[in-house]
Amino acid sequence: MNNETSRRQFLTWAGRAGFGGAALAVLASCGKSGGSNGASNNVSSGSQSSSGNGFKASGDTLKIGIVAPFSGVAAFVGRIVSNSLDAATAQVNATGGIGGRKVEVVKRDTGTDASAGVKAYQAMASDKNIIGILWAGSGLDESRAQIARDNMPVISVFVDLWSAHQLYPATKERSIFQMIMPDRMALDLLGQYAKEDRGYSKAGLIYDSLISPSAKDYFTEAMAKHGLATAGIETYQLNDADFGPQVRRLQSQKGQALMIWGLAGDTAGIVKQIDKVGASYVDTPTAKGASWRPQILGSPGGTGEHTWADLAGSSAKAGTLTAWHVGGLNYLPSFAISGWMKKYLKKSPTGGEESPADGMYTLLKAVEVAGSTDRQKMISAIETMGEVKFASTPFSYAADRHLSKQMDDLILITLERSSGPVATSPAYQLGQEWKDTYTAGYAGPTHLVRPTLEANKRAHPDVMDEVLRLGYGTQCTKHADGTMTNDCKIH
Amino acid sequence: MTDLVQIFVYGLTVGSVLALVALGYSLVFATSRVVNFAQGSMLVVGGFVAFAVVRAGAPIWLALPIATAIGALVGVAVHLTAIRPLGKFDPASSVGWILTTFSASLVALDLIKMTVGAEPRTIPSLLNSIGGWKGSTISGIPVSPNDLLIVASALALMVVGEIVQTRTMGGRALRAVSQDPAAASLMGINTNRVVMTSFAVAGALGAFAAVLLAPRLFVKFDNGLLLGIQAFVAAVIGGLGSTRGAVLGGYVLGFVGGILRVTSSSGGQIEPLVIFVVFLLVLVVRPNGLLGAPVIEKA
Amino acid sequence: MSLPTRIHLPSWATRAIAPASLFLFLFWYLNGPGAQRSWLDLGVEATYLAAIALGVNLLTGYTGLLSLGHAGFFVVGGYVGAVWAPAWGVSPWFGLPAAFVAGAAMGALLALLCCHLRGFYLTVVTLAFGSLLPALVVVLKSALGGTSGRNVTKPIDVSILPFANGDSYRGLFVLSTIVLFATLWLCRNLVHSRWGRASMAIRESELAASSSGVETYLHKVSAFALSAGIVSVAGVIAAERFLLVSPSAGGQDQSFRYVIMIALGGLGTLAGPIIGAFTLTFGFGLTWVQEHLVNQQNLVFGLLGLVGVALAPEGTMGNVNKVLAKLRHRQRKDASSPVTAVTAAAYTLPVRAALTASGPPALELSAVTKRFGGVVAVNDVDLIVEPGEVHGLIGPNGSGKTTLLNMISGITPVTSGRVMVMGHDDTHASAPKRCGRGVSRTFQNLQLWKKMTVRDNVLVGCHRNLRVNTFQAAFGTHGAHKAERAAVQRSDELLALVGLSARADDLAGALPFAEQRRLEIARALAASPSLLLLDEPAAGLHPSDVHRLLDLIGTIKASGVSVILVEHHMELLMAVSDVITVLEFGSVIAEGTPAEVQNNPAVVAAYLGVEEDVA
Repeated sequence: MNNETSRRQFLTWAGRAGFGGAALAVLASCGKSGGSNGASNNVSSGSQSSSGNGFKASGDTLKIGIVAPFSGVAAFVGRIVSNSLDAATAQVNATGGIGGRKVEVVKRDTGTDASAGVKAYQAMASDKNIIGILWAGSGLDESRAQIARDNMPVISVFVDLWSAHQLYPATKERSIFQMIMPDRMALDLLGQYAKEDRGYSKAGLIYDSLISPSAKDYFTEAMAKHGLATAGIETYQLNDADFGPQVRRLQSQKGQALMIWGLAGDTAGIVKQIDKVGASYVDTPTAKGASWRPQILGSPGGTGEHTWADLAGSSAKAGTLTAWHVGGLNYLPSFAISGWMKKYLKKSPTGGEESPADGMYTLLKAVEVAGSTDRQKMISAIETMGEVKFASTPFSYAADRHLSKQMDDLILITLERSSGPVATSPAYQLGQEWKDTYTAGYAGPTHLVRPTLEANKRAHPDVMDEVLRLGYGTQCTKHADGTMTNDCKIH
Repeated sequence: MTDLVQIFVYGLTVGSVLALVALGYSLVFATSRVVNFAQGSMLVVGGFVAFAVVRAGAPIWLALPIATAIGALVGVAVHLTAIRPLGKFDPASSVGWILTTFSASLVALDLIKMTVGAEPRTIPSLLNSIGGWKGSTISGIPVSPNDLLIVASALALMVVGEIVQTRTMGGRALRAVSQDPAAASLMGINTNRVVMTSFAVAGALGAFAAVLLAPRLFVKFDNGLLLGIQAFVAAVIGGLGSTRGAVLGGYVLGFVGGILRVTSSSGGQIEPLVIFVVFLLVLVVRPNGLLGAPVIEKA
Repeated sequence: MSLPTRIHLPSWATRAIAPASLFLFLFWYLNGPGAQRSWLDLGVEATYLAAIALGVNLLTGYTGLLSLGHAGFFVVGGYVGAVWAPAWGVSPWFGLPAAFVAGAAMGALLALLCCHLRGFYLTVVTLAFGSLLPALVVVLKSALGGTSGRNVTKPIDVSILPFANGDSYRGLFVLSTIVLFATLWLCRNLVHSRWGRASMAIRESELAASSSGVETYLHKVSAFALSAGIVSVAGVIAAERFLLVSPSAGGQDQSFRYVIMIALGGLGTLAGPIIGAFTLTFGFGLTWVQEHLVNQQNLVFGLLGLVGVALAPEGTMGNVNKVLAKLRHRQRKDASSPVTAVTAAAYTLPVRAALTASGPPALELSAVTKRFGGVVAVNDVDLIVEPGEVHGLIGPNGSGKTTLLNMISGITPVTSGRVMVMGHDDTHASAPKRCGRGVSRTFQNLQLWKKMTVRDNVLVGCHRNLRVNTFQAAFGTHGAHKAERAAVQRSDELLALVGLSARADDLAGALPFAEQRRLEIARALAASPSLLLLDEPAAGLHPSDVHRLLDLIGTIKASGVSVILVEHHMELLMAVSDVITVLEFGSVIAEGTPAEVQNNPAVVAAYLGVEEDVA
């Protein structure tokens, strides 16, 4: 049964984490009625199937609804969404809008309350100017029945439906599309990387059982698929103050890789604990050695952004951690969102900003292609319009694939500190990827790409060329017999 | 043996972390019979203020007193805006204080967000070495100087709290107000000032704890809510209003968590269930918490 | 302009109010704002939240028990009513009563665990209860569907309801509105019944409620069960709304929201919870804030919360009631109503049968002892009170008089010895049980329910005589009304007896001291006692009031009620007592007629000789 699979992302759970939950978010979401703005609202209750407003005269604005947590524990998601869409709309409007029409974003806050998300949806569904919705907050599950009835185009950003088999064609809601990378796919890729690229034979997992309750299932699946042995599965809860017991058990199992699924602060805490027991990762040979020195693999939410490295301080050593990523490359010139943010908002991206912007553009492009804001026509357009490029790497949907990303879209990066490697024991030998000559101004860690050139180049050769050309990372090549090139600067 | 050491290390450190935060709840409850739901946000205020001071170039030893002082001021502000306007009320049956203490914490958090920011941050450790000792492992379990500082601080604050309450005029006034506000007021004690002082001290404690805990929990917005509520449970188990109780409650939770995590890799998941049972057992046997003074009701 | 304190309508009109207003509300909403679907959905949410707020208000507002875990019952209701009950093959409609029963049962269970706790400790247990759900979701993953919950596969066919026009959105609104009105009706009946008065009595003074015969523990359990049941039913409607039962709706943030709704609207009022729920759901101004001040919204909401509570500490209805009270007060000043005092002689107290001189003693204490730690408060006391006797009890302060009364009324358990009431061994009987046996009392430190009216104070005194169970009260049956009318008449007679007829509708807390003393006596008499315990009824009274008290005790005695009178006022004591017992340091040092005691040298030395110091 579908609903036996835990699928909710942390947005819905963050609020209730620990002993008590988001009581704080209560007031913030109190009264967030989504009481529809009565003035602009003339839609009768009969318009449930599909509001065919037509592609009317220019001058009307195209409104995109955005349902996200702007308050409460998950407010940082709201900040990412806000920055992304403010910059992207400024860019679209500065370059003439869509078919002569300006674009406007209508934000509604869910906090961590599902019913606030439902109310937000109700209000948006009855605003005829809203052509589609970007969903980054709670309440998507609760609204699915109505979304299906309304045939409302919804792009899920930061809510992972695909992993739990909750995305069309696995389920019937055909108007929902998913922008972000699914966890299940990412863990699959990390398993493949650990086995194929690094040659590891066993890996462990530690995950936040409140935020990512399903990580265990996806991990087990990936381990089985890639023939890796499981070296311990541990849980923790958001904001645990001590990871001693879990790390000790993992240590006894000696996995060569350790996957961490959670938020940046906890990742930093785990990394510090590992450092305290003298088990910092140095390079692949030591990871395979007799003592436990696991290479850490994870997701950008918890590891890909530079936050974890800042927090972990001297425990974040060179090459400690590898994550799947796309948005982590936001600082590259080819990731337009970063330039827009600097231009319009005077801000730098923190990671993840590409998804809301690309999600929004999906809807705008669909209006342009369909020549109409008719919902059914927009959905058909999204399914058939082919590859789109806007804020970051190109993406596409298809009639039988409502997920924008595919395995090849994933880029693996290894994080380093920009200030250079910290002394390790045994001494750090191989990497010289950090360079004082990196002048791009990015303050975060530097990156190493996947050692198999083909793997990372398959989907985004341009991006990879850029990474290499600008010196943001290095590239290793694996020989046919499975060994790495000698000059490969991997850790 | 290793398991036992692990349980002790976990129980003592996590227990002390919770105890430090729980002391603030207990103190305010003692004088006002109100649970200050803004207490958690004191952690956030203190942590981010300390971060801002360090970012401005000051050493952490200077950031600590500044953050503590601002924590005390915020405590006073919470009292003036959330409690004072309610006048005289019975916290057990009137519920306005729940709304106001929450509101106060929302305001405090947003002000911090606007001035310092909301990104998770780290600040330097107060204590990196004790006489050259920079940490070691006891049968494989790491112990660091800062962990010892956390444990020592929790115990020291408990002892200081006890001494202040029993040996000083101010402490006696506090106990008098805690036991019978009306009588204390008749005896010429300014109950309002005692309550305000307790809010100030609780605010200072929260900020102090935030700086102390940063090497473990960093400076994060989540700390206020999540740690705040766990510490509140600790304060209740120990007995709201009792200094010793707050610390004991912290250790009860710390050791329960330690035992669960050491014995099972999904121990953390069933922790709330176990704590609920512990909680009920404690309250069935001792309705006012382990070390709480009974509420005296007159016939 | 006259503002009647209670509106008296013909019974058919009273009965028609609820259905008529339901009809009008549905008609207006569905043809007005509800024509738009987003409004319809908001309407569903507002109505079920209002029902929840009413339910929680029964517990928090009326009974004075603050729960911060009721959202758990909301989810329980969803699972039982919308997922499991339909899966058993019964009609989905049965989900509603099933949810009520399951929620009430769980509520009762929680209450049994925590109702011995006082003040905020009880609240904390409810808070912990609310946090159980996330843990249970992990443990019972298959039954509860994990964090994402369970889908509602067999929804209630609400489209067949009147006004629905075959549309399930409209139908759900109709159902939700009916549930709200039904809840309001139940709550209104309960609040104005024996049940509601007992609740408020517990809220104001649990001690006095218990002495007046209210089984406080069980009553608190019933309040928990009722409120949990109501919240559970709302949970079914929410499940039908989302076609999903999600454990996320059971977090404490929701429980806090319930309380905040009540706090905004007005605690312990019927309109308050509804106002609060509707304000929060239709908060247009707040929507504006959310759209335009996304980054400062917590600041704005926080400031609103602080200012709002400062302006209306008791909620919107608190302020409304204050204004109404002022108006009434002014009106009463204008019209001085003639006091129809019932003279003591003209009135006979209703007393229990089997009060004859040949029967067993009203009270018989054998070797009763009470120790508090190492202190012996009452030591080996033997005492017999014959039927119809006024038995004086004197002794210096701290001699154990009040402790003795507490043991007789069942508030304090005896350490050893035996207490016989009307020939029954009641040594281990609780205070309410003894009240049922005919023991009734007043308190030295007044224990009136100050926020209840004078009449309601006396009506709670009738608690045990008023044979109306909770179901009869909730549904306002004919029998309940009849019993209620009789009790009101009875109370008014007692108020007349103590000269408080004119103050019947005032709050007890507003009475002057002497009248509060008389009200306590009226309340004690309302229980039709065989044995009345008066704890220093003359303390603090003006001489003219003492005279009045003397008459009153005379009347009580004349009707055959036995009285134990603890008093320092010697003149009064000597005048009315048949027998006097003298206590010192917890032991009986003398017993006899007033004349005998007065001349007893030990008594003179121990007590009478130092009278000036005592006073």
